[in-house]
Amino acid sequence: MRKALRVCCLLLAGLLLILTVSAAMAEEPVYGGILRWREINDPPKLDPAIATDTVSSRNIYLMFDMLVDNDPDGKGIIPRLAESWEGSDGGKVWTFHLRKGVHFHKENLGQPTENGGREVKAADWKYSMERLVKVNSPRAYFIDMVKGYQDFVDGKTADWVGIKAVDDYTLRFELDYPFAPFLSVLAYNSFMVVPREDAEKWGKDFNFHPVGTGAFILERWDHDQKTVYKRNPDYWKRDAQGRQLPYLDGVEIFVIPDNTIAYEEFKKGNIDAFPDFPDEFYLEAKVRFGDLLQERPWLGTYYYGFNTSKPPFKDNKTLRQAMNYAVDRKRINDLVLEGRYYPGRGVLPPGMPGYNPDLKGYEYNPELAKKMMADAGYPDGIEVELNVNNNPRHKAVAEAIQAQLAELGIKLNVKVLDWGVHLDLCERAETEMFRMGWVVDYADPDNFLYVLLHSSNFGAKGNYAYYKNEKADELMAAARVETDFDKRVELYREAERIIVDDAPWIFLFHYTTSLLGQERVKNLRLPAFGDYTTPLEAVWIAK
Amino acid sequence: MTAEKKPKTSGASLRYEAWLRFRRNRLAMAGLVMAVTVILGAIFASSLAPYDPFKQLIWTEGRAVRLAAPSAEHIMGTDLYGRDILSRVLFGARISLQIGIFATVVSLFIGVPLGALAGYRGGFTDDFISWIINVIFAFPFFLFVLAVVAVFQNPSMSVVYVAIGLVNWVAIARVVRAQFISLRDREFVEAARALGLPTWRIIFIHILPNALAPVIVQATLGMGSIIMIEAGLAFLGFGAQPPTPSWGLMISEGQKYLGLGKWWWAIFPGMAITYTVLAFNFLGDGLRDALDVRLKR
Repeated sequence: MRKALRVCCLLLAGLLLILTVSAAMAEEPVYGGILRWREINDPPKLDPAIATDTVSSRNIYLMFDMLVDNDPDGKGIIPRLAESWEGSDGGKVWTFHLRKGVHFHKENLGQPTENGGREVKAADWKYSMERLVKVNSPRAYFIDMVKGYQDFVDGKTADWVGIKAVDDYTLRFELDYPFAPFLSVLAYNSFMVVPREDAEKWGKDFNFHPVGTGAFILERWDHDQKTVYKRNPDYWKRDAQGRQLPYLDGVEIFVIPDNTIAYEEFKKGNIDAFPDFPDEFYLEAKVRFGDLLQERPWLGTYYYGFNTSKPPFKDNKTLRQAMNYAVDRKRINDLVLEGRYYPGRGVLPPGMPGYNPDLKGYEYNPELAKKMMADAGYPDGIEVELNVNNNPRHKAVAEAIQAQLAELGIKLNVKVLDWGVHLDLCERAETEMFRMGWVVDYADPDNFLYVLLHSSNFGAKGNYAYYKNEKADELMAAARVETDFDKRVELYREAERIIVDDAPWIFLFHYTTSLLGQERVKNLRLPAFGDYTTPLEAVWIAK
Repeated sequence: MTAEKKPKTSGASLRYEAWLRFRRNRLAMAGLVMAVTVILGAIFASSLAPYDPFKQLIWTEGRAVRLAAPSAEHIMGTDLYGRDILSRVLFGARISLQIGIFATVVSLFIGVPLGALAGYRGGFTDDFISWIINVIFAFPFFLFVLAVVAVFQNPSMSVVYVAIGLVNWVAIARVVRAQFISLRDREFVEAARALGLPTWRIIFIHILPNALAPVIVQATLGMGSIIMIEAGLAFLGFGAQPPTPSWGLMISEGQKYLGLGKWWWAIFPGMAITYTVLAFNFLGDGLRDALDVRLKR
């Protein structure tokens, strides 16, 4: 009897062993499961036309598709809803051949949609692009070189003449001038296709009833708690074996403002994916989770902008330069940020085409800074207000910089504000100094230099410092229409040199992006474009 | 004691008896001693603190002083920037007391006149002021303060005491009103009125001094809760801004490291808050027992 029991036990153990080993070896994707993703705040917007921040984009990527996408390793542009494309007429005409069998969501928030799940045609793309202008998208100007933009904005034409639906599956853009980054720009998350029926039914409230073509369908939006998505059974994409994607039954994006709580929840297994991993737990998590904590350089720049439209920073380049010399970027990175960032020298992050490795920038030099403060007219120092959005990392950096500037007699009054209020004050130039970060929308220097520092982009469009230099303006504008890559790079480098010398910002750091995932979550791969663009349609959860 | 030998005038003896009652109450005495230590700590912070509370030592001494555990050099350890926590806790007492005192002053300035007017006048005036008091009482205290602070959109210390004062005055006003109702028909008031004195004079010179005891008790008890509120606001990022050594702010920064075994950044300021709030609560309770003649045993 006892022997029989023992044999049974052994057999059972053996069976279990075989099962687990085979499961581990095969790594066959399995369907089902909900992925729980953590975000730090509620998405401000879910309408791709009006969203500009990464939390909104995280949500939007689940529900919508662009024509083209960024390669996950940052190596150019890959197809998404356009299967192929060609440029002609010296880069002034772009023709896209659309994927067939792509359907809009059949339902939304548990209700059937107006479009009823019909197929996406070229006319929908034309409509979606025109809609950007109609709803005043802050990013519509990214493609203002498409012929007829200004006339359409001014209401002189009924449609945007530069965008043409040649037939149901061919879409053509005509540009005023050959714009080199055009393809990269179309991979940005405002240029997504939306169904006319639903967009017109809801109008402004489309933001609360977003309908797209993406792998997931919005099921519920509990503000400040979570957004709940369920699987889109009619999604166009299939895996290499021809199986329907996505594997997951759904995604829940939880709003957990506090990092400590989020990390505890992760350790308990209540959260599956933890993007933008906080510094305070970084060293511990690296030991504890090893490769599950993914990290890679990110095309982004962290800076403190000066409001150059108002005193004391208006027309005082020496003061701005002095403050640049007064900050020890390297040691702040090492001691406060656990060495996770790269000390910055200029506007463009490393890895960006046109990045200038020989740029001098501002080395930490307190003596020089002190001397320049006197030259700037502030030998006894100055009192300035710095606005920072409420995030532990930004507060930590601000406290360090505050102490370093204090050595020069600069009294930095740090004001911690909610993101919405902060952004609003920056846009309206109602600050003295402000913290800001910019991460890539499209991998081209244009996205940093032109957007953030050209004088036609004051305020919400990106130039929060209200910086204007005519020479730099000219160079950046010239680079937009130049087609020769080397010449463009030269123009951008010259513009960047001027800007760095003018010091409209304290150039601080370049980002890395990170993502911590549970072991059972498979196929979770951090792309070069940042944690918030992580694709989830091919992610699956091991049982 | 010289007072015992003197012929007792009635006022002095009442006060003296109150002091005797207070002294017999052990908790009250403990509260007094604790409160005095906090006040002394705040006043002499600059000579007691071993380091400059704002000095970030990591830039000169490196990683060794970053989040260093309590030791002989840094009795309460250091924070992320190598600032000495003991020094910051001592200077934090200044912030807390400053908020406690200023917010109380604001509450008194609003609460005493309004409470007095309501109690003295009665009728419609009383109904109206009582209605405001009840409306404010109906809101959760902390949320109301938070809302007031948020309206200003400009987090700073002065906004915090005005905000707390704007909410906290109702407690004072209610006490003052009750006192005035019981005093307004006493003979000495009628005498004053018969002499034709103006109303403000009757209220402030004749009645108020007789109504002060419960106000003092209420204000003392209020100090504790105001200090808690300030810490809560600072914890949430309102009120005191970095690098102010506010206890609430320190807890908010330090709590991230609690789970990593670096407890000292959050725990010591937490203990300081507990100590101070307890001090004022004991003191307030003791004062109430001592000053309330009806409780005389």
